[in-house]
Amino acid sequence: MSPILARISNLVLVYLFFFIKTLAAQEPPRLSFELGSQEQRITLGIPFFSAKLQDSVRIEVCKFYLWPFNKLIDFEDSTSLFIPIQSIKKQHKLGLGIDSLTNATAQMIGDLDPTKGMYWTWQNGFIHIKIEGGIGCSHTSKRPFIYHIGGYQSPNNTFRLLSIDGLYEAQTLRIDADTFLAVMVQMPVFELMSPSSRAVIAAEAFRDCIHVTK
Amino acid sequence: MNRNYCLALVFALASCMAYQGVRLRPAHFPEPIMRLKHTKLNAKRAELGRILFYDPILSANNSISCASCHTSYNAFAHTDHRLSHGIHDSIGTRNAPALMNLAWQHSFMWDGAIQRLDAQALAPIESPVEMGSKLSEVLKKLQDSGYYPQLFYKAYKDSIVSTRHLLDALMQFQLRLISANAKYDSVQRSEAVFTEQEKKGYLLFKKNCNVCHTEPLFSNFSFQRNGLPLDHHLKDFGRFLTTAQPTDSLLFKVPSLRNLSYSYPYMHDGRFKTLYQVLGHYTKANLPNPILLTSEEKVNLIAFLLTLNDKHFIFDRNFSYPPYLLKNK
Ligand code: HEC
Ligand code: HEC
Repeated sequence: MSPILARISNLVLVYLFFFIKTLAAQEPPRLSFELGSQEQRITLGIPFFSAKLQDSVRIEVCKFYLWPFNKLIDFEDSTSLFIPIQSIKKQHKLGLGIDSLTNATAQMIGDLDPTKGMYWTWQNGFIHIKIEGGIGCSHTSKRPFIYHIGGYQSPNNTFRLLSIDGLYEAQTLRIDADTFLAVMVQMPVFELMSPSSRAVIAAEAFRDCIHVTK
Repeated sequence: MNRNYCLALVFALASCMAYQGVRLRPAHFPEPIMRLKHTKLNAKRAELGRILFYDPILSANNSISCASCHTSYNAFAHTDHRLSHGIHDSIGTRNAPALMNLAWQHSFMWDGAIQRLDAQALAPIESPVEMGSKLSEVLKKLQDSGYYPQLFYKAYKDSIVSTRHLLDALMQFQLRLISANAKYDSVQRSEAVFTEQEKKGYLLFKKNCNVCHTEPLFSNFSFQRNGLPLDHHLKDFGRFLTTAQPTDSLLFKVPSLRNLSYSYPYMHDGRFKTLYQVLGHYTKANLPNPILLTSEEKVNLIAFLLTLNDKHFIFDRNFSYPPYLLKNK
């Protein structure tokens, strides 16, 4: 290759680099979700020590619908954990689950496709929140939990608005699994599979365990 | 524009609208709950739905179709079986209801557990005692079949078999299952007259049954208790199972009384084989408004109930086994 050509191609590369960098910098500010235990960040599938339960805990599934986007936030899919702030600003409010009108009329496409595993086929209705895992360090004393929280008809409507201030900044919302599980174990409830008054308590506990990370 | 041409166009449009009107709302029926707007009826989609309805490909081992439990000759109920009979000879806990005039219902199943007709199909597909499959498997099987991508393309301009289109097609077919051509309907349209006996039966019906089995659909689709004692083996508490409200214990959706001659056995668990048994129950039942009928009145009432049999519906060639499946299997 001639020196001139080499220099040009270098320039092109440098240009490309900066071009991509500015593109990345221009990515709109976004709201992100993370899984945690109190002030500590945790990872799906990896055990952590729960201060409230004084035991080791492992979360295997954690996913929920974010209203009004009908977007599935699924910790198994790291690309699903963000929402551009821009779209939130237009909404003023965020909620957990699928509202009853959408439940009754929405087209079952995209994140609302029942193949996503967030739909109760036998009695129709989206599952708003799914959390599954186990409590206990050893396999013998392991206590599994399965919470499928849903229901869109009163009095067991489990759709809840999020009560978070300052939603309009780019920030991270942490789902404090420790605090949520403490409420569930207190009841005690280890399995939820259908709409009920206990599911309502669980939906509220889930809403209350979400807070802005410092 | 040529005047004749204009007239022809207006006439064509008008007959087109009348056709849709007949299809969706017989003149003596109230407005359906599911509006045309939400459910654009489309012949190609309904035909695809019909093929799917009759194709056992929707079940895990290709043995059970929707029509296995919902047979056209039984007003889309299942006569041989008291309780539904699914994959691997599994027995369910309820009697398969007749499928007709579904656009007038706001909820489905004996306990109203389901609110969307399109999504209803997911229940049998994924039920381990009915078709025992998984939605994602069904979609894959349809996609890999030699003929469905083409049929989906024809109906939806999309050869990808999606949940939405699968459910929509099944719904489109089922929305067409309109029964409005029984003798009763002819009488309503002043095309026929009741016999003396049927007239007497009609009066008894209005006095004793119409509160719940409201004409012309012969149900108000509310949840009621008609005095049936709990079957201690099945322990089916009806609507309570969906709402968990104690006041809903033993309430079941009022079924339509159309096509009873075809849809026996009766009640949510198919406990009665004959209409005489049904009336025997009602006259003995402990109801807030007791039903008293002499044996002659029972005969008259049944004579009226038989005027709700709609042969045109039962033998409608558009609803029976689709010729397409015969050719392609
Ligand atoms: C194994 C038998 C069986 C199969 C197969 C089956 N069904 Fe059903 N169907 C039933 C029973 C039983 C009920 C009542 C269930 C209940 O009340 O819980 C029912 C209820 C229904 C209803 C509600 C009717 C009403 O008036 O509430 C519809 C609609 C329906 N089925 C459509 C379908 C479709 C579509 C398919 C195929 C995808 C299908 N069924 C397959 C047995 C079956
Ligand atoms: C209080 C409301 C009510 C009244 C009044 C009533 N029914 Fe019913 N009927 C029901 C309910 C609810 C069911 C379904 C019960 C079940 O399956 O557990 C039913 C079921 C039936 C069935 C079975 C239909 C099927 O497809 O399985 C027949 C037949 C019937 N009723 C006839 C009558 C007749 C005839 C009268 C008047 C003599 C009458 N009913 C009065 C509420 C009522």
